Amino acid sequence: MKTMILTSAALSMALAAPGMAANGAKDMLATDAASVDFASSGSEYRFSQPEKGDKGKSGKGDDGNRGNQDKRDKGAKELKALDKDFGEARKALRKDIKEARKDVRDFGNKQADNERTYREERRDDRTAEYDGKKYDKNRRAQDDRNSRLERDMFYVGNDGRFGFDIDRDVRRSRDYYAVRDCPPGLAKKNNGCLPPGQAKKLYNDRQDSYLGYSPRYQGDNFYQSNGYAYQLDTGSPLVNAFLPLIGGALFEGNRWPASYASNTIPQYYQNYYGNTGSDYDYRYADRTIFRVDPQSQAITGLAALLTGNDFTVGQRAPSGYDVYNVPYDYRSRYADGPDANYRYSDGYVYKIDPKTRLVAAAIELLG
Amino acid sequence: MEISKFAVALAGAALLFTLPACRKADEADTRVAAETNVINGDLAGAIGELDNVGTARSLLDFAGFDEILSGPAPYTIFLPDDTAFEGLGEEKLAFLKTEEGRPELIALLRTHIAPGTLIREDIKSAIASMGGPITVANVGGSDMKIGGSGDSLILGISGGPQLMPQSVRAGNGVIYVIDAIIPPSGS
Repeated sequence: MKTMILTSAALSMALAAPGMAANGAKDMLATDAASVDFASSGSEYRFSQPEKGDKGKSGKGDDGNRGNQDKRDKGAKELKALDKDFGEARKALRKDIKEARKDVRDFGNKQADNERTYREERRDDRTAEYDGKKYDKNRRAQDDRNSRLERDMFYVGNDGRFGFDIDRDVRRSRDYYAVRDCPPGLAKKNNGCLPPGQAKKLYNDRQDSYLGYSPRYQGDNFYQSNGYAYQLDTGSPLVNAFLPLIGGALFEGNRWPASYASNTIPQYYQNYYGNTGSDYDYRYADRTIFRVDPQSQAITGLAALLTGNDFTVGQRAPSGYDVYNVPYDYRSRYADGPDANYRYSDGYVYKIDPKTRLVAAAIELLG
Repeated sequence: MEISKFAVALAGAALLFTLPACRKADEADTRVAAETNVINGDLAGAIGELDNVGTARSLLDFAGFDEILSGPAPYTIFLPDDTAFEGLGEEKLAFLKTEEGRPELIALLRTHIAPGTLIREDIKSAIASMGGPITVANVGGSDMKIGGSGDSLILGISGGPQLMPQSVRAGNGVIYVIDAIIPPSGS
């Protein structure tokens, strides 16, 4: 701004100066009364007023003509010097104007850049706001449900069995919801927990290779980074959800996510899959049972892999159990016959009606 | 004497006829023995007894499956042999052995593990009674088909990994060596 003011002053001066100088020269020739001192130093131009005593110095009498001639010569010389000063002053002015124009141009460009950045930031903010609003609007109830799920990731039936309620949509999934605590070292932002630029990088570097093996991640814009799966918004680098991956964040040596802390599994599963008498806790996430140190909350190992198939007494048995698969030790007790088939899944043997495929009973294998 | 010569000749002829049958029976016994190789230990120990599965063994170890394979819960493992993993390519295999690749490795391995104890005879009789491929759940969250006829069992409808004769029954499950990786369920 200061540059602009200086430039404007200089510009006005440049326009005014030639006329003023010309007038000054005329006055000098006519009166020899004033002198213009173009003490040009940088962009400063100073007009000096004649001293009062100068007027009386002009001679009169016989030597008047010669004196006048001398004066004219002197005036012409001064005029020439003045022209020279003007020339230099113009040159200096042009240079300054050129520089000022460049300053203005640069300033304008910078302003334009700033405005562009500002507009982009505003747009991002609006997107984030929109995203936030969308979350507010559609997710408030969902968050409430998630809060409930954080206390109750899975449900336990009246018979003490896991009630699997697996949904591919992680925001609705009951067995493996998105965590809301960021991984260590990452701040929570509108784009999830990714550091600035990381979400965009993830989006740009996204690969389709990840977890084609897991139905949960197929075709839902999931990408992995540093032990977590991130679900990106369609067409933008915003993150809808992020989940700790088994083998990544959920692996031996890492701390169990705080949001999952309350999900200690039912006693039967601890007894069946766990080491009897051990001091460990057993936790559940994504069809997997983990062994966790109750003091440090550190994951110390994977204890079991589950199918998550839902066997409900009175309901049809799920697909995938065409073959008799009861463990050796129980085959004599639970052998297939014309009235009943038996199938093993996730720690239980199920009695199934061969004709209707309805589940008749869930049988614990302990005790 | 004549009778005696005739009897010897008859016995010799009978022996000639029975020898090929004996050889065939021996071969069959050998194969059955391989299929029903029973060990007293658990799955983790059984994998150590198998040939040409060093890659799978190291991957299961890196995936942290030791406790699972030595635990009380029964599983049936379809274990790709070393040649099968070569099909993934060196780069992919190297990635699966990194921390970044471990989630994908675990997801891959899970599709190769079924709940319970699936014995070959039960698989064959189920295919026969169903009149075609049967469906088996895995702990990867998807189902897989097993088809084929006789001793030739294939994972998938056709062209999938084949169940090799080499298999082991351990105290907590069964291991079948297969000659290819089970592809993702969506592919």
